[in-house]
Amino acid sequence: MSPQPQPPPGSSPARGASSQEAFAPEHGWCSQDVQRELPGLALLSNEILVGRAGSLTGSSPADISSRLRELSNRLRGAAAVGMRREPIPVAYRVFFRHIGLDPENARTPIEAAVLERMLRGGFLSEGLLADVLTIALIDTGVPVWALDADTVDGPLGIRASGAGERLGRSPEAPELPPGRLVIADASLPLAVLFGELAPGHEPRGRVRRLLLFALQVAGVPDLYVEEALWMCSAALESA
Amino acid sequence: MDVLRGARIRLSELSCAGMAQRRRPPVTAAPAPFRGHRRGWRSTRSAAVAAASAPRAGVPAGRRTATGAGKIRYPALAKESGVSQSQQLLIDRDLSVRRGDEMAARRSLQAQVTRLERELAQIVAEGFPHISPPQAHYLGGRPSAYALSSGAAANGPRLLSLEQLEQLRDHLAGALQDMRRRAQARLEHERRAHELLRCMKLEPGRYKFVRLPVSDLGQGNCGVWEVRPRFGLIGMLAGWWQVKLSSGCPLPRGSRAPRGPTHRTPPRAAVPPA
Repeated sequence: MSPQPQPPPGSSPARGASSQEAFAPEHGWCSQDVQRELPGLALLSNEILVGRAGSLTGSSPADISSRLRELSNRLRGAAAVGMRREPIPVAYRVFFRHIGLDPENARTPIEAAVLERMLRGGFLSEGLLADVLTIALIDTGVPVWALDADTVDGPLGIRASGAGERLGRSPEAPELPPGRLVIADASLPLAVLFGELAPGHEPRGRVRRLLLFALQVAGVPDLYVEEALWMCSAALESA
Repeated sequence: MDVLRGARIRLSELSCAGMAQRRRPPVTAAPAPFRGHRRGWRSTRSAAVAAASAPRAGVPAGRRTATGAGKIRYPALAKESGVSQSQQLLIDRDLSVRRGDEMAARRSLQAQVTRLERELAQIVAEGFPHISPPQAHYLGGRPSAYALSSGAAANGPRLLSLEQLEQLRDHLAGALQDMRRRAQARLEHERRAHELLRCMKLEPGRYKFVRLPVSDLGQGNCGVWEVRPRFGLIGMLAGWWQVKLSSGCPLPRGSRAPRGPTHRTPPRAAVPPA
């Protein structure tokens, strides 16, 4: 973990600086009860056009692969243990407690990634999109998810699910228990908060338009969330 | 003396009467369940917690958190044929006060959970690997194996009720106490190990062949301090003892390849003349 987020691979410093100045992610909505109960929670999203003509799950370019290797070398056991002292991972741990999740059982995204690195011996490449999201997560501590923008109806936001609602539009969408905190568009839940994406809404194959979103919790500065989104946007647009 | 005693008695009677008068609830038109809802000498936080969490007379437990959904929430009043305007105003005021109290209680509990979680994380990070994280805690009971495997049901992200927040706070406070106890025990263990090492170095002859792992000293995982005789058997017979530290962790590349004829490079075949 580095306190200073690094520029994303695949973007030159000059282009990165200019694009970051103009970068303004959209703030999602939050239902009144969620806002009242969890005041620091915010959703930021950014829609991008993927630069790659091929599949997003295809192999990563050389610079992204080398960045993953570099992160694997940088993040060793001592850093993994010391992560519980760092402010951003701790903020997500605390938030997990506030929403009824035990971070010892349901790990926060950054801790899950670090544990995976320890078990597998490194951050193994899993395709362009997954690699870019992993790099942003490790660099900033802020998790970013991606949805197929063509399947999203309206702006994203956070709310509690109602009775009988399903996760996504596909026929095999699982039913959600009432009161589950979800990421939703104007009509339907598309993801469980810090959980799985709705089937049929994940970006697969040659998706061109992506909707990236990140979750900010109390104790995480805006800069880190925007940085995470910007890293993913810049890397995917220039891939 | 009697006069003084009588005066003292009268004074005490007076003071008690005064206090009783101060404590007497004001006469209002509100029904019995609402009379006790006033801020007294308690702190705002404890009053808020108590007001929001303690069951109140005449209010069913299941309805305690459902505030503001309707005008009348009390069955005794609902059964009456009509409620006067002043009573309705009091009910509204009581509901809004309760809502504010509950929100304050929730904020307070969330702040406590935040502080406890930070302290827990700090202790685990400092005590690793000797202090392991606390066991996972399931609010509302342990879920079934199916619920765990499918990630469904009770343990997903949700807004916690006041009772669940209290339960979580209590669990974390208990876990923190346990972790502090373990951290203290670990510190004591390391202190004893340091003391033993100091004694071994001072008088090695009294601690023959005693082994002390460096992990007990909190200095890593590999390596052992050991009292050994100098020059082997000669030192043992002569009483020459010394404290030695083993060479530490094995190398990451593994043990050295054994020497022997099997690992010799085969002789290069004679190159036939062109």
